[in-house]
Amino acid sequence: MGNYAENNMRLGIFVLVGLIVLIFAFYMVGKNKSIFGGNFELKARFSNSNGLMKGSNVLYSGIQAGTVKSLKLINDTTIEATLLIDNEVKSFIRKNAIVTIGTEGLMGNKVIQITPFKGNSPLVKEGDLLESKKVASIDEMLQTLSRTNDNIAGISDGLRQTVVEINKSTLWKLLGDKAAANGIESTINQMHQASINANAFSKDLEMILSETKSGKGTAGLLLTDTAFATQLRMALVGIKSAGDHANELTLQLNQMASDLKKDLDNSNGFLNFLVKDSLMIKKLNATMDNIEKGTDGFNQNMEALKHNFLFRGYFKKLEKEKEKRKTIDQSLRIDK
Amino acid sequence: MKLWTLTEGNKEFINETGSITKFANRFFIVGMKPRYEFKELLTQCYLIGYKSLPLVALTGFIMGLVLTMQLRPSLIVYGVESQLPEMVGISIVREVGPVITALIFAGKIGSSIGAELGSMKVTEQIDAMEVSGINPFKFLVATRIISTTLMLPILTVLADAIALFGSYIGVNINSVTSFSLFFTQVFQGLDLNDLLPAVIKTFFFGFAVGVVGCYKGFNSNKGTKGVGIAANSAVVLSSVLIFIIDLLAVQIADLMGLNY
Amino acid sequence: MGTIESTAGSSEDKSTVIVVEHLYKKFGDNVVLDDFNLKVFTQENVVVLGKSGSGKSVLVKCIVGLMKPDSGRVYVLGEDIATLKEDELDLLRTKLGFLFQSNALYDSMTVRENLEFPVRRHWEGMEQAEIDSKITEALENVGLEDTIDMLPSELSGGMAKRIALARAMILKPEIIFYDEPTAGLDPVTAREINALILKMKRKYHTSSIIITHDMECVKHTADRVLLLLEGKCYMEGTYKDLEQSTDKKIKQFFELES
Repeated sequence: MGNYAENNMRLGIFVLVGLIVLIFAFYMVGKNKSIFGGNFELKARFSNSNGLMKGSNVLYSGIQAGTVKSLKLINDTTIEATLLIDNEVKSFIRKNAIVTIGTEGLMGNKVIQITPFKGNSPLVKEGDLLESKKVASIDEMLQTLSRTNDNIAGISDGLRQTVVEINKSTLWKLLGDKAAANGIESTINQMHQASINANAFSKDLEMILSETKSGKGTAGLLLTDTAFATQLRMALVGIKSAGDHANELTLQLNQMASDLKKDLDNSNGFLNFLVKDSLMIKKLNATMDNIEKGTDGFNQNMEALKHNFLFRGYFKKLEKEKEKRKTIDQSLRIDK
Repeated sequence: MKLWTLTEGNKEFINETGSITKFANRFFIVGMKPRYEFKELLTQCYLIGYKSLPLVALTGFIMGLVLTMQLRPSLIVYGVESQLPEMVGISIVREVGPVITALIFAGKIGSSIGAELGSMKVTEQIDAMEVSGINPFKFLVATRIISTTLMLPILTVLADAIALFGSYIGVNINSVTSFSLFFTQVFQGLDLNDLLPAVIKTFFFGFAVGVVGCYKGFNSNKGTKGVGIAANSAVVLSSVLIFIIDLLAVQIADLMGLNY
Repeated sequence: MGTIESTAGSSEDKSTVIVVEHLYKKFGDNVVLDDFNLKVFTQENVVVLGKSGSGKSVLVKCIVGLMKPDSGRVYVLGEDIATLKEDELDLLRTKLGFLFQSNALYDSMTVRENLEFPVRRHWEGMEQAEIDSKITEALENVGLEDTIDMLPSELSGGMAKRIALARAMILKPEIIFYDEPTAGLDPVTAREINALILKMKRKYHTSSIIITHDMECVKHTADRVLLLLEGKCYMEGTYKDLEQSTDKKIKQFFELES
């Protein structure tokens, strides 16, 4: 009989351990879904739920804070989400906190992120409506990108024209003028720098494009990822500033060119100094090459952009507009 | 009437299906009435549950480890290696854990019940019990069916836990992760909808193993050959039944919207 | 227990314990029992004699309800076996003892547990000391007190048979069935078993049905003999009647012996 009791003890331990594991598992699962423990409700409104679902997680500053209890259509442009938030974080969320819809991980579920906003504000109360912020959608970002590229294309065109103008200008006559020569030297240095910059930017752009392209391959979902989106946006800002920079440069170059012209018209001194400086000439040539390469790079990027499926629509639209303009011009000419 | 011109095998199959259903029905009618054989039930629970733990633990551990190592390359292709714990957790808890454990259980317990009751039948021990006024259906069958029904879920839960531990080691073979991070990730991927149907279906698995094992043993033919056949067919039939129940479970869960 | 009924079966005032009427049973096309009738009176040893495969075992299994007859009625202690519910049948069976041909000792249990098993279930809440005394008594009856902690697999054929008898007797049944009690035993052991059967009858005043083809057994234990041939009761009488019979079919049983 002793053996029987011992076996019963073992059986008891076995069953208890099993039950504890099971209860633990239910607790862990329940904890994720806010089944246990106190909680309260908050509300937020969005124009687009982006695939948010009932039960999606709510993060406060990146920490699990609750779940989405329900989603309700208020009207044709507004969706109200009721959030079930753990009481633990209640004392941290203020009324001016901002609610956004984000993505969990690379291809994960949609989550709601509550981000604290600077400045003092009273704490939230049960049922408060929090302000939501629209995160720039990927479509919009890509449109900005193409506009920026357009700008860059225009800039590089301008750059090219300037270079041509410089080439056309009677540079050799210029070489005698020492002041002009100094000016040219510094300008050329600046141009050198600009072309290097332009090259680098075109490479950046190329990288972004290839990333976008491969995004189509592995998973279109990549495009809905917020992390990638911010990266893209940053790159776009870079390109834009580069474009601005380049624009300034062209302006300067234009100025330089007109200055040179003036110089040429007015005087013909110190040309010999420059002519003898072979190093300078080499530099000049290399710079010209660089500029050309840079603009080539831009052109290639533009081509690539045109071929990219994402921008195809946009470029088609652009072409259509061009054609429209042409026909308008023609009709205007005919009118004349 | 062409439907009824069945081959001998078909007839036997249908006949047996009916017999097993009757047998299971008898369990609910006779087995659920007093008197209850608590002592025998505990003994059977000990033999069926506790004694199966080492085997189930070993298979569970290997299962978790192997599953993790096999899944890793595919996940690396998609660049979601970090999802390994979630993925393994879901597959173990939802499917692999319950089914593999049930199959191992059917192999060990189904055959032992079939052989034990079969040899008791052959040596007239069941008759002896019956004529001494002890209902063998209550004493032998009901206790075993209840034991398998109650013990398999517990075994499965433990096997799941051990499989996840195996998986943790599997993850750590190629990379390093902390125990708590691993389990947080596992439970991140798990939902009540994953856990509940998986636990519920193991009760049915256990019931099937118990009923089939007892039926085969209780109705075994005379002779040692009959005992062998009883043990063997108990394993085969209960394994098949486990898969059929699994199929039904996934469809029912689907209908109830638990599979999204 | 002084008074011993030496001439059982002869007196008419004794009540019946088992009545079998028009029993009919067949397996496939093989008719095993064909309109078989039997009456057993209290404290009477009835031997059912027959060749192996003649349906003797089927008969007793029908009587205790292990098999369902195709037709016919069986009354045990006044109750119709066929109409009893499972629980009522279990209760009735506590008054019956059955010694199986294969002994049917529970081989996962020791001798003590084998004996304890029916006791614990029929006298719930019985003191352990009382159970122990019952077990000791049962083992003393068969002279095997020292085997109490052995497993059935460790027992010899004769010992196992005696333990099985002890188990069948432990509930002090009113009727006891012996299915081939001496089959497969050496003549000396068989004689011991025969002696035990008689001893049990004297000590506990049981009625019994003994199924056998062993004439030695019949000779020692039978108050009345029924010869089962082709599913029917071919002859009924005492051992002496049988011995003096000139019927060829009866004679062959004696010829086998010599």
